Amino acid sequence: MNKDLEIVIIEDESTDQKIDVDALTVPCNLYFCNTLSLAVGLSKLIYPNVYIVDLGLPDGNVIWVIEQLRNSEYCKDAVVIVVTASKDKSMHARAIAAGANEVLFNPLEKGQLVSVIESFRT
Amino acid sequence: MRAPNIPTWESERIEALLKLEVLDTDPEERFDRITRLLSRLLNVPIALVSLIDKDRQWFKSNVGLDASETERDISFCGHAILNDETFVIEDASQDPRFHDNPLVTGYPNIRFYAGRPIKTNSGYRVGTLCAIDHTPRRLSADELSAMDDLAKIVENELDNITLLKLSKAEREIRLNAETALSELTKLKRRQDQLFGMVAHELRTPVAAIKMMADQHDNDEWLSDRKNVMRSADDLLNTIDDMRLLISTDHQRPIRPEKFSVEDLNASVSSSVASIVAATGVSYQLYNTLPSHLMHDDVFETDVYRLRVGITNIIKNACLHSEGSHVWMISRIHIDDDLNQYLDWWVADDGVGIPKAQINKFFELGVRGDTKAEGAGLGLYITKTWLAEIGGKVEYRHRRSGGSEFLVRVPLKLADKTAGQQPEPAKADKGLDGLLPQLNVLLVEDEALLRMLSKKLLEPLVGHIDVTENGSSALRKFDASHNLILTDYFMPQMSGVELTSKLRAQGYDGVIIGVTAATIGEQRDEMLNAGVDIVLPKPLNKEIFKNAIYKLMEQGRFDDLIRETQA
Repeated sequence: MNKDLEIVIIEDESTDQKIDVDALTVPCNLYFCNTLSLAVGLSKLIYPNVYIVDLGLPDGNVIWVIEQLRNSEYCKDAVVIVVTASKDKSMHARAIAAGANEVLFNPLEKGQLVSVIESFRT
Repeated sequence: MRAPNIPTWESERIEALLKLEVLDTDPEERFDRITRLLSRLLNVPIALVSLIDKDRQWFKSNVGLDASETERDISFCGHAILNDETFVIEDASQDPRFHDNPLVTGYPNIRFYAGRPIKTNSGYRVGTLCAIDHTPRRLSADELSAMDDLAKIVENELDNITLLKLSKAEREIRLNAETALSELTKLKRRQDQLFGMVAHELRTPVAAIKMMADQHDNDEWLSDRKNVMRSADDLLNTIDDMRLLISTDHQRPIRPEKFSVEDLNASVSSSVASIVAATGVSYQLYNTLPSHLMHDDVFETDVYRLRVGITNIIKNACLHSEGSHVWMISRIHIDDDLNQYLDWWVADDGVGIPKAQINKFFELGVRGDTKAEGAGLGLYITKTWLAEIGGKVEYRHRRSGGSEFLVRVPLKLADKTAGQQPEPAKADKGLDGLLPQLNVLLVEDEALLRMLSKKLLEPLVGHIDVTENGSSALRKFDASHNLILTDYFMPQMSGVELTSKLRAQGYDGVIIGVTAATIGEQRDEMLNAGVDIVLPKPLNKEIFKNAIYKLMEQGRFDDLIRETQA
């Protein structure tokens, strides 16, 4: 496992199920951002490897966030994992089309997030 | 029966004992006259000069005991050499460590034992001068003092044995070394006195500023007040640190307290604001902890050490990096063993640090190739203090140019209940009833602090008298005073002397010591003299009320409360 795994978690105030720090059983640096601009601003400094987008926003806004990350010079090559509470199964295809690497549906199973991160790191 | 512990310095102690070459030698009059004198002075049947060998205690001098040695396991003296103070057992038959000891249950039927450790000139406790009786008894202060004097004579005699073995040249070298040591000790004492005076002169105005700011809690200048208080705290802490830095005896103790990362970051940003403005650097802070860990006081560490460490790194970046941007990110780090840490990542876009300088950078007094002023203390203090709280500071070269410093401390969540002082007024109505019954005598030599302290306490307590030193306090004191608040450092008569005299006069009421140095010698001196509690200077309402609440819980105001209720 890479020691310099930099994980940026973009979550907003309306997220029901926040990412639990204790559930992230992977060596890394963790950055929680409640705005996209904060996440992009940070990215210029730390070159993240993984973004976890955990937003309680309407689906369309989530797609917009993914597109913004992919359009940013500092984020375009990172892994983007979307965690969503959406019931809309078409969300998966739309998020992937917008540039996400994986879409996970809440509630997450134990270890699910870590195993997805690790699958992209190996 | 409990056998004596073996000290961690046992091998060095045995080496020092063997070096004396006194074990198993004939009796000598110079030691025997001391044990005879001790036996007569204390009126005890047995007095010994006992030396603690590896497995036995052997008696160099012996009055009244029909034995030349005993096993170390059953010896009283084996216990006595574990500490500097005289070891006293008033009634061994009642002491759980000794009641079934064969020296108690059989010959010589020890009931009373007093053993004053004997040190070699190298400082190792190799034996004791001890007094033993067959009946329980108690030693007076005078008797203890006499025993101490006689033990010093034994130590001198042992020292003479060493001296006689030395050649003339060696004796001269030793004499010179002792003279030099004596001079150094004198110089150190003068340095301490000088620093004590300087610190006192600096503390007084800062303490006054802090007390004044503390008493103005209206909203209008709340933010300014916070900054004034923080700056005053920083200066007071700096004075304490200077004192500890020159003292060989004490280190600043670790003081864990709860903190929120948001408050800590705000406090750091405020501390560096003037340097940021003066240097024209663009400083940007990113708080990236999850919100539930960011805002509340959920973490615990010695926050002063941590704050000084982070602040030093940012100040250095602003002053020395020659960059135009400084960034700080607070984040969570998870290591390979999945331990969690709090990180403060500080980076700049300056010139960076040459590789050759990096390892030396954290040493005392080392400065890099910088155009700015500095003493080379900041990174040394940062590294030392962070290590003391289980953390570290690291330097990394930045890929895109400039420097990266990382401050890392273990993520330790505070116990939600520990250390929560109940707000006295809310926690117990008894305090509200007690405070107006307090008749306080406040002793403070600085006129401004005296006035401010009186102003602070007057609305809280029933009555307050003030006076300027220990001598005037003794004159002003009367039986109606049920609380004495005394400063440590005062002309004519110090707080320690005042406390000793009041206790000697039979005053059993509460005495609170107030001193800038709530750690180390001054605090210990005050407690030994008989104060109930030592509070930090400057006082504030919360500290005072918490102390009264604590003393009330200890029952120190029970009589007063009973009188009031009656």
